[in-house]
Amino acid sequence: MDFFQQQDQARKNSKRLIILFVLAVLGVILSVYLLLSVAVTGYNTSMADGRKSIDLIALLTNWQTLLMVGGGTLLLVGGASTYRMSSLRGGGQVVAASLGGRPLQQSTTDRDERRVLNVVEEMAIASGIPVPPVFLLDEDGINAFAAGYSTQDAVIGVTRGCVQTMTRDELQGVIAHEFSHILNGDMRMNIRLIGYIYGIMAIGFIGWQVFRIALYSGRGRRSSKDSNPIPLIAIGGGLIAIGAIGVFFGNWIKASISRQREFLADASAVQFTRNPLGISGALMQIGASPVHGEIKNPSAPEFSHMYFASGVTSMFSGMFSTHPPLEKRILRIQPHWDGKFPNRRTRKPAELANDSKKEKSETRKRKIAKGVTILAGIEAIGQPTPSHLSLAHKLIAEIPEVIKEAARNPYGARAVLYSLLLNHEPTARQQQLAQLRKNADRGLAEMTEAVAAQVSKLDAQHRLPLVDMTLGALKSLSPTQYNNFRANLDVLIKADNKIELFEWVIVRVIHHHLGPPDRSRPKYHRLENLTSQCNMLLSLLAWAGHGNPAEVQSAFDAGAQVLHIPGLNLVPRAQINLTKLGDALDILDHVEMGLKKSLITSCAQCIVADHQVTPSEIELMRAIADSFGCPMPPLLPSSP
Amino acid sequence: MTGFWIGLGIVLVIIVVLVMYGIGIYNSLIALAERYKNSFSQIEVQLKRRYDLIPNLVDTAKGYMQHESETLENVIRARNAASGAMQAASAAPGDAAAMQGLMGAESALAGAMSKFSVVMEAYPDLKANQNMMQLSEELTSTENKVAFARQGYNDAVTAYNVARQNFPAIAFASMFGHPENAELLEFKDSALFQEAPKVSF
Repeated sequence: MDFFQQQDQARKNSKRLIILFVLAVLGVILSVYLLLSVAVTGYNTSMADGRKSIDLIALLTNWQTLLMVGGGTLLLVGGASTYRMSSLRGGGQVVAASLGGRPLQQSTTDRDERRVLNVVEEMAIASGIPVPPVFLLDEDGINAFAAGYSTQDAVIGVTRGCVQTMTRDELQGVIAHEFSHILNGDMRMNIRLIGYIYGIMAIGFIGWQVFRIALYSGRGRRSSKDSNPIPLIAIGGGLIAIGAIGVFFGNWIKASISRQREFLADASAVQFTRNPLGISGALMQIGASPVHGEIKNPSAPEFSHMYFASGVTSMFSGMFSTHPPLEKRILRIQPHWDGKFPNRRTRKPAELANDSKKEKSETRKRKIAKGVTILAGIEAIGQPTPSHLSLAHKLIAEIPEVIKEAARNPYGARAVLYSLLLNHEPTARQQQLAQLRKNADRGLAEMTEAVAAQVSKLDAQHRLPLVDMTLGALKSLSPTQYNNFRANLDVLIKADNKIELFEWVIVRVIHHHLGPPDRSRPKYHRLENLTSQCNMLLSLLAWAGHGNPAEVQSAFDAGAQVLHIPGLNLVPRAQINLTKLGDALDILDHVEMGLKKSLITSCAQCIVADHQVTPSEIELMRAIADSFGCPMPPLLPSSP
Repeated sequence: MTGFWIGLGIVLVIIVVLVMYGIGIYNSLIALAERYKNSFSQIEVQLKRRYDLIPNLVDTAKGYMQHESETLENVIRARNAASGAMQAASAAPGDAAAMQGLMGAESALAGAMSKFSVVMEAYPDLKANQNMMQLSEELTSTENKVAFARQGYNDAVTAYNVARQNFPAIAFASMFGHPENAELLEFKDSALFQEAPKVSF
């Protein structure tokens, strides 16, 4: 299953989830209705001194009352669910904060923290997504989670226990597992689950309120004959019971879906790292630890299905556990495991020198030949392989330490991006720097100049990974600082009165990841009505990489062929501009996943039509895939 | 009969809406408080770096400035005080007393440092020392980062204070555990080596 199918699958699962949830809500409505009817009948009966003034059966079959109760319950459950989901719209940061996480500073000097950040950074570059912020939970249990709505606002959380006990391989397995949740679209579903269950829980909450009001009024006005607290107490108690039953079923649904996704994430982790020992070792460590994966934070149960291993012990194991038993998970990865957990490790064993050495030799062992296949890159969307990991490791290692240090803190990250936009022509460059001196923060222009000296030596293939590295740090800019930063980017780009392709790519990527996230659903299920947008996209790619008109036409045709829609025509060069391309991409972003795959494939066909792929074409390709929400790993050099 | 149902329904809906509204305020206050606390940790990282650099600077200067030991001791004392104040502040970011303490200690440190740089003017050898030049450059860039992180922190604090003081949040803020505004952090920009003070005779 490739990335696109996984995403569709996740959406289908969400649909199944909604159906189950609707059934649960219907059940809750019926129970509430039954309860209220019985309570009211009881109330009337007691009022009327034994004479049955209202028939229970008649009341039960009164559809008006049913409608009213049903509407009220729906309103309540729906409102509460929407509310909870909207409060989680802030993305992964909100989840991490409610679990008491502390964001790790990229400039940390702590060795364990640095190691986690390195592993996450590699995994992010290997899968082509911006480096997510990492949160540390101050818990002894060994656990981790990924949260957020999409790759744009994802965060990774790890517990202190996890950081301290795992070896680098094990840690890599855990992080790969979490990335699989990010790439498989599980995070969005996780947030939905939390919202739905919260909605059902609201009924129990109302029950408590009614219960308390009833007790209070019962105490306060005992003398009054009109108020008999018993029905209200009964209603309250009943609502609490219904809420509890609702949550019971809700958790059951949550658990049954969550367990499947966990197996999938384990399998993906093995696929990403091709090292079953890493993730199974991590699982064994959790089994061996006396506290296992426990997370003590009071909000922990609500997020239980997000963790790497069960963070909350539930009374009914099996049906309600959000995670398959550790033994089962290990056996799926290592069928010949003897079932014995290793001895408990309190701190990780001293690893030979710093961990990068071992990997470097691995990288060297792999033969990397020249040449690039861009089509293989599409297969790798959302499914980085160990080769991508080692490529990412190599790319990161090749970037000079000065640049990396700058890219990892919000102050210097801006200098890195500014330096990527500096003109090569000296006078224009001086002009740009003068603008920076005037508008940017103190010392930033000097830093940009210093960084630029190093950046200009970098290979083209380092540029996008470098941008990905800065995005993580830039997320902590305050709104004022972000606006100032964007304004300066614009000034730098417009300094020479023309927008180059790479400049456009950078702004596009930054806006996509740091600007306000767009979470609308897919609107288009066919490309037929979007021909002008497809024309713009393919024409630009055709003109960008090919010289003579005949080649341009044949490149365009090669791309158009993939889409199977009539009415595709090459747009003349004069009518193409990057603003129009941006608008076209914004619209095309709303097509469904399967169509996105054909769009990306057709772009790739268009690029490879002349059997020559330039670095700027690769950058453009990755920016296009990125703005479709399909993270494309850096292209592997491969044998021709 | 229908009247009872409608009444009950309306009461329920009102309760739900009020409770949701309250929870909304509560959550947003927590999120904003979390954000400014996180921003403080960015300042902390840079300040720590600065406190680590200063002893190196003093060690380098010692060889040249035997007769200025008092100035050097002042710098170290001010640095230690500021480092202590920062630890207190990082335990309770936004707390008025802790922040005031940090601001006071920082301004004392800035004073000691500027005295140091005035004295240094008299030692051209020291100014030309390779190690010294490197250290002072790094110190300058760290100070720029402190200023930047401080700006981010102040933005986050302002956002929190505004949200806290809005009606109706102000009515619940104390109940929800946000009784006071968070304190802004203002340092006198020491800008030590950027503009050495002019000495007139």
